Amino acid sequence: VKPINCFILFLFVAFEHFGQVNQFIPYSHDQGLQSRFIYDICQDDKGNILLATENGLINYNGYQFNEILVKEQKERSFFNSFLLDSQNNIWIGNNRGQVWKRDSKGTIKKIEIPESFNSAIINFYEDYDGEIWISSKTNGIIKLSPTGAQNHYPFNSEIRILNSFQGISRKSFLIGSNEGLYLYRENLNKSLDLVKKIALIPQTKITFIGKENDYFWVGTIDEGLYKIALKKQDELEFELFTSYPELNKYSIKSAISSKNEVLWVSSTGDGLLRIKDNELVHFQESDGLSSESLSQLFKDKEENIWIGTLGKGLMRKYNSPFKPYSINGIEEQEIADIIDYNQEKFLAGSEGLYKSNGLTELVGANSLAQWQGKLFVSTRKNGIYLFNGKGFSLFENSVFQQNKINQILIKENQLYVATSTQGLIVMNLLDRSYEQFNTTNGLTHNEVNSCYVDSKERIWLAMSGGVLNAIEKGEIKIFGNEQGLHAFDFSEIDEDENGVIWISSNGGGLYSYSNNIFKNYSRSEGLHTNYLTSLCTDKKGNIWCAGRDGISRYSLDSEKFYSYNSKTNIYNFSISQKGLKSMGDSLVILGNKGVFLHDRDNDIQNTSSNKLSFTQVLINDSLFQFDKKIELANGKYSLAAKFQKISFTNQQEIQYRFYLDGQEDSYGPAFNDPSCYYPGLLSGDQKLKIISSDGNGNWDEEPLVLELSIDIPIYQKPYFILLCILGLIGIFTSYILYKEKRNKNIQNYLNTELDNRTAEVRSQKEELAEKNKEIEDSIIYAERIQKSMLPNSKLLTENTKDHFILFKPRDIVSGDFYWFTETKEHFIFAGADCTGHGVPGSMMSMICISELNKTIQIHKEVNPAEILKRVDHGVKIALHQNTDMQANDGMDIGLCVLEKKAKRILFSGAGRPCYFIQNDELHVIKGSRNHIGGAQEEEKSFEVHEIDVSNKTKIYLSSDGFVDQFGGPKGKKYMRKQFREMLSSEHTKSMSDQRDALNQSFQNWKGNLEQVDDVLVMGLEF
Amino acid sequence: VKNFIVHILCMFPILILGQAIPSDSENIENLITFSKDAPSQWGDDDNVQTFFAFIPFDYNEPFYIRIFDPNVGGFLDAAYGDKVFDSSTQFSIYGGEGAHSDPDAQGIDPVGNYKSGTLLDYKVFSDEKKYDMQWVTFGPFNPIEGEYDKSLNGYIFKIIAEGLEGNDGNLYSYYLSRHDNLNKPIDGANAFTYEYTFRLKSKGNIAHVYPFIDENVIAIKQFNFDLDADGDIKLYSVSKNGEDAKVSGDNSWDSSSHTVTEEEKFKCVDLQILRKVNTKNDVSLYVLNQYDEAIRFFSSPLGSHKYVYQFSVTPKEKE
Repeated sequence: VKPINCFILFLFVAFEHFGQVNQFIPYSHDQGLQSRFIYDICQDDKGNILLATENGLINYNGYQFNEILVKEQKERSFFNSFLLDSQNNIWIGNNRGQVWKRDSKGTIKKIEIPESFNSAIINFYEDYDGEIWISSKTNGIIKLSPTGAQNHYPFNSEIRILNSFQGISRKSFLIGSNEGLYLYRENLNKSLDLVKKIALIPQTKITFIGKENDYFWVGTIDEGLYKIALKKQDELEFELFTSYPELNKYSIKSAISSKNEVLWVSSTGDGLLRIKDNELVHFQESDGLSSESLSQLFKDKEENIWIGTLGKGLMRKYNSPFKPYSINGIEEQEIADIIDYNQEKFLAGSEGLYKSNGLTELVGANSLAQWQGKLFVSTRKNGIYLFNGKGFSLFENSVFQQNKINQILIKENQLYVATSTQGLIVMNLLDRSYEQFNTTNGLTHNEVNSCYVDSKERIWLAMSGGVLNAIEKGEIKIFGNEQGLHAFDFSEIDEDENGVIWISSNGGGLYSYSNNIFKNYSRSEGLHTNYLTSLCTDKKGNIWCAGRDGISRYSLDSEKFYSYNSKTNIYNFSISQKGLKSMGDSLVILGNKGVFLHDRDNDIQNTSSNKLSFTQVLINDSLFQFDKKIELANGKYSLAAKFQKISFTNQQEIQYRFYLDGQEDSYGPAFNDPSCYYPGLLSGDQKLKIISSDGNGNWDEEPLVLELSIDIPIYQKPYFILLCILGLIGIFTSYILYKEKRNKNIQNYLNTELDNRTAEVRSQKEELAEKNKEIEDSIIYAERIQKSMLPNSKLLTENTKDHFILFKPRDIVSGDFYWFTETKEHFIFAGADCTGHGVPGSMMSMICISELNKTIQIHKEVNPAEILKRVDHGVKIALHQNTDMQANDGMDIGLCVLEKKAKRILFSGAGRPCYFIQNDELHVIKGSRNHIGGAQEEEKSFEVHEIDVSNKTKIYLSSDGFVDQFGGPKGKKYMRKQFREMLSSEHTKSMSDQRDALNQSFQNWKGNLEQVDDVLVMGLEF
Repeated sequence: VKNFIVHILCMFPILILGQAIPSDSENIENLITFSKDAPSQWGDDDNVQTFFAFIPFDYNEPFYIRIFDPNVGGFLDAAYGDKVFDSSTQFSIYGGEGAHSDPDAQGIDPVGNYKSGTLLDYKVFSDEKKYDMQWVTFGPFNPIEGEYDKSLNGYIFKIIAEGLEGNDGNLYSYYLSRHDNLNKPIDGANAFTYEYTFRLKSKGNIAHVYPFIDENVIAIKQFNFDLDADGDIKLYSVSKNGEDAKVSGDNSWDSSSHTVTEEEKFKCVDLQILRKVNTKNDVSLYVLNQYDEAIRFFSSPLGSHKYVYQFSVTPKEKE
């Protein structure tokens, strides 16, 4: 037998004085449970514990008790049974045969049952067809089909009182009566017939039938407990598996088995029974039960055992994985270390060194070690003592006394002393030589919290300040942030069986070191806290680490953390620095209330498998149903949601992460607070997604989802946009149509107007044409008159050698005119240009011609200047230009008088020149600047120029119509210069050719432009 | 009357420790119920004994009805005929509506719907040795399983002991307890019956039964059965100081009427039965009022007062 096993045996045998720990957590009035009688217990799919009580149906979510169904105030009844069926409906029965059904939405409906069915509802059963069987104490059984049909099966003669009812297979039932256990079967004719009495069970009062897996527990009032099962499903033959006849002195109310093959049995007056390996433990009020009158036992999903009492509310069996033990006097002491020395247990406590039989009077021991039968005891302030079993003596006082020792460790004859001021001191216990590692030889600093010598003889030093030092063959290595270590302090170091170094830290959680790589484990991996003060490994592949408020165990097999919250598992227990010790196969926990041992048998890791569920959803502070999508009109909303993942053992370790899909991209950090708040929700579809961890770092794979739909603004809605587009199209189309119609109307109006105007214009045109024709006819007639007044060209022919007259009236009648007459000795000819053209010009020409004729014929004047004077005078008179009436009408004229005999031509010009060519030379005689007619009152004088025509002379007279004609490539006037050049260049031609050349030149120059004035050019050759 | 009873029950709950049936104050050895084949001359006229347990309204914890020696056989019980116990007795507990309020439940004889109310539990006992001289517990019961009685402001449970086959006599007693295997009294609880069948103690002992006189009673008539004329019955009250009542003979009923004074109202009359011989005797007893309605016997007497002596002084005539 190994010594350590002896030690463990010693722990359990020698230290029999275990501390008192309340193993039952009461729930009564003080905890908010107003009901005292608990008749039935179950758990819903969300993990809520449901209670049938004398006051109503109660829900407990780990925080508070809520009433689901409350009986009427004056009703003298109680709810004593219920069923949570496969559809999440809750069927509730009372002791007066009344039944209610609460559906999954919370709607409660009373089931109509005949009034004669008035005895207590014993229990409900849902069969394979979803039919609900309601058993009563004395009125038989009612079957409710999903359609609502009822079948009532009264008891036959065998049954007077039904105490329990349990379906076992399709349409077969066990009924516990006061005379034993009966098997009944529903036949096709809808009768409930007795099959047989179960002979395996004594003929006594059957108090309880419970189904657990394929077994049935049958409790009796005075014949113990039985566990039976069907041999074959169809034959309805039972076989007995286990019986507990020794329980015959207890009136058994309920039985349930938990992990580790522990059977729990409740009795109606004798408390709770625990059976394991045929060992019976009886729990009574003196053991912490609030009552010994128990009702139902229930095992929840976390393996918690719930115990209903009659009169004292509810209890929960608390399975502590830590078993306290103590030596007298240390219960209130903070224990720092523990060691087995000389088959006796020694503890380093705040008030001294304790052993099993008492205090040894050393103050402030903090670390223990032994070597060659000697117990080394370190103190914080006074160095190290040797204890020989009777007394203490200082050990190497000169070396250790002033060093504020944190820990001592002995390995291979070496004493390792971790100090706060001098670093690490390593002393060879054989020769008392020692070596010191401190800042002078490379240590980061001198405050060493603890040390550890691993299997490779490396000395690991857990240092303050977040630094880890290791001494390997005298060489100091420093590990810190660069190696990925992020902590305030390192507390302890240990090595597992695989050679992996584990380091606990304050602030950084847990680290492992293997193959030169540090790996971190923190809260996100399931560690209960990142502030660790102690660490140890055990031989079962577990890494234990502790903070002030709990312990975590990391299983190398499952690679998971399992947390033990001290507030839950060890009441008011604070774990010491370096308070975890692995001793043999067991874990020892040192703390401020003595010592606890890890009880592996009771270490049931209760991880909550309950569903995460909403408990409250508030939108703008108004409650909303959360079992369906929430649809909201467009507006401003805030969302506050509360949710829960129920755990009755690990509630504080459960964490939540959430995000609002639609506003956020991913889950936020983990919180313990089961609520969230979003002050401003965006419009559109959004999903609030929440996941929870079970306290051991296992997060939900599927999130809890709350679907929200906030109506988008109307202007963002597709139909609105479509309507807008259609509206715009409609408006545009309407506008187009309107415009078209309007245009059409306008067009019609215009057409009508046009037609009218056209008709009018036509009419006017016709009228105008008619008038024009009349005018034209008049003008044509005037032309004829004018032409008739023009001299006969015969005179020209007679008086000249050749001649031409280029006469191009701008209109039909002309203001220009040529005139000639003959006297006996004179041939008088002129080219004149009256003011205006057309009819006015022609009228002026008529006046001027008349005056010329009158001057020649009446006044016989042949002097050209005098002729012009007379004509001027005559025109003025004719036009009354000598009166006040202002009129500038008149005439420019070039007048030549040929003195036939003298072969001389006298020329006087009024505003017009005379061109003549003699000897191929063109001469120009400018006329007077005075014009014929007009308002000039002064007497006009006209010069007389003489031209000898005895030689060949060509005389040219013209109006200004030729030279003033616009045209040419630049639209300019023809100009006199070009006219003169034309005359010069063409004078050699015959007079008719000259006329054609002039005419051609004029037409070419004018081009498509309009003729601006009457044109007259006359050429006479003498 | 009802208010008065409530008043009394509320004023003296601590004093009432009537959970033992019969109670110490009655000085009755045991209740007895004979099986149905037993001749009536043995003292039980109808083989049924009905008791009513009263639990005060304020008591809101479970309670138990315990029966001492419920089996028919062994040390305590009375075997007749062949001296072999071959009988059985059924004990039934009733609660709910009608358990007491049904008129048949308040009758003298087990006729009609005397098993009214809701059957809460029952058990048939024969000659099982394990129950001999042992307490057997029924329950736990929630007080509200009983029938609420406004006049008493509490809940009433009915306990029927019914002799089944056989001819033996089952001697037993009850206890209303807070505990399932200990007799722990319930504050304010009491028990009553309308007809008593019990075994008298031996010579020299005085048994007391306490019929309650309410305000409507002006006269009572006591009936006793099979007293074998071997003792006396006397009435004691504030107005009666050992008023004699008639005593029945063997296998017969006898009765006597007694007037009730105003001072006796709302109090119990102490009806004392004095044994003069040493033989065992089992008797039945009931009391009717002037309307032939049965009067309740409370295990713990309500409002009983000792006789107040009244002196009449006659002035001596002067010589």
